[in-house]
Order: sequence, then C-alpha cells, then structure tokens
Amino acid sequence: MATESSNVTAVRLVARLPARLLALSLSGLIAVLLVLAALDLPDDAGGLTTQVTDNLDQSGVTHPVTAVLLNFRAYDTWLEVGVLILALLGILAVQQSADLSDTGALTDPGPVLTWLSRLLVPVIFLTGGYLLWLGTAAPGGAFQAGAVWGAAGVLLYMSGYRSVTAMGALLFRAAVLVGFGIFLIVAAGPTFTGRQMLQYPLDLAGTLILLVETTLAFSVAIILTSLFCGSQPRRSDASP
Amino acid sequence: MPDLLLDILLAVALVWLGWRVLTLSDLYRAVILFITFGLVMALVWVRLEAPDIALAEAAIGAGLTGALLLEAVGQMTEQAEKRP
Repeated sequence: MATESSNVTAVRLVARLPARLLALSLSGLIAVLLVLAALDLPDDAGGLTTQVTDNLDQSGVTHPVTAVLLNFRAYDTWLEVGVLILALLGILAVQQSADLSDTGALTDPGPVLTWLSRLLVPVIFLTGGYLLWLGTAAPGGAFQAGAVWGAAGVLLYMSGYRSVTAMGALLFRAAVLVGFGIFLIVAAGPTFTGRQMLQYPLDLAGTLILLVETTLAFSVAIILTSLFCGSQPRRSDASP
Repeated sequence: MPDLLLDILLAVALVWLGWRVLTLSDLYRAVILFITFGLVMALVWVRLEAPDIALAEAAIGAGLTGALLLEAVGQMTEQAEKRP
C-alpha cells in the first residue's frame, strides 16, 4: 500500500491571476444565489407527505421512506439495480472476462488487518442483516444493508481472502442477477392475474417487499464488492 | 442556538474539506480528506432529517469510494516507483 507520503502528486495547472479572480467571483456569486434561494424556501414542507401518510397502511410497511422506495416508486428502485448491473458490466468489459475468477487476492495483508477483519466481518454481517430487517419500520432497507455487506466483502478481499473472485461464471452471474430477477418476477406477476404491473396484492405486500429487499441487498452487496475487486490487476497480467 | 452552531460548524467543515481535497498536491492526503468529507456529509444528511441517505452516504461515499481511491493511489505509487 502507499507509504506515509506518496510520491504521487497532482499536476497543478495555475492560470493567470485575472482568470482565477473571475472564477472565484463567479463561484461566490453562485454560492450567494444558492443561499438566498435556500433561505427563501417556504417553511411548510408541502410535497406528497400527506398522500404518503394517508396510504401508508396499505403499503405493507410502516416506514414512509421504505414505502415510497419499494412500493409507491418501486419502478425507480428496480431500474437503479439495473444501472448497478450496467456499471458491473463495464468493469467486466475492461477485464475482458465473464467473471472475476482471474483476479488474484491481495498478498501480505499484515497481522493487524487479518485480526481486525476476523473481528469485524461477522459484526458487519449482523449489522447489515439488522438494517435490512429494520427497513420496514425505521431508517434502513435494501440499499443500506447491501452497501454495508459490500463493505464487508471489500474488507475480506483486503485481508487476503478471495471473496467474490472465488465464484465461477455461472454462480457469479446468478448472484448478480438474482435481485433484478426476483424484482422482475414480483413486478410482472400481477399482470398475469389481471392487475397492473407492480401492483402488489394488499395482503402480500409486506412479504413481497421483504423478499425483494433481501435479494436486492444480496445482489447489491455482490455488485459493490465486485466493483472494487474488478479494478485489481489480473493474475494473468502479472509479470514473472 | 446549539443546533445553529452545529450547522454552521458542519457547513464550514464541508467547504474547508472540499477546498483542501481539491488543492492538496499529495494525493494520499487528499483521499484521506475525501473520506472525511464523506463522513461529514453523512452528518449533514442526519441534520437534514434524512437518516436513510446518511446511512447510504457513510457506507458508499466514505467507505467504498474511499477504498477505491486509496487503491488507485497505491497502484499509481507502485507504477511511479517502477519507472526508472
């Protein structure tokens, strides 16, 4: 890893003084306009908070943010996972492989990192699971749990374990796509029984949201860890 | 009054951290300050009463992006040292 003060420095392009003064004054003007606009906002929040609160008992969860993310605006959450998969496809295209099994694990993690990761990874796993379960009633939910689990995967990789790079192509694709796929089934399923897309049946809404959240968190964790591991040099590139 | 002081402190810290991240010439220190910026941003989200965004910001902005940038600086250092 990098030493205390790396010998990598940024290249400074120093413009002339009038150009710098002009840039500074324009930035200051935009900042002042933004502050004035923020101070001018009405005190009453308005928006759709009343409509969300009125329909909260039909959504299957008790936390308004989760109800909006996974029931009222579930389409947006679904497509966000698609965007994450697209980002992962970009990494795989640069690596020119269908999975990350060619990426080697980091060597020589050191005793402190090994001990710390053995201490922290189970706790991080538990915290992510707790955030996932808590999302129905309090701040939490699928993306927060997936991000915390992804951090655990990155910590595992930094400690010398292979984590997501140990998966073969089939398992890797299944793990990445299960979140999007389950959401697809849950979204398209109601159309076969005469309802609209993404119109959950009222008595199953809570269960469906929990199922979708769990698979979503798992997929997001795999994708986020792969975004980190995929930027490591490949074993076949290493010079002898 | 203490809330206002905390808000002013967070705003000043954000602006100062952003300025230092952009103007530091040692990239390693700049990445460390970027991670700190992510954590202060998570506190700002809490002050704006959006705890869900605060959780996501702390995990992704400070954690994952910070780790990615540190890896990038480490690889740049290795390549710079390999060059004669």
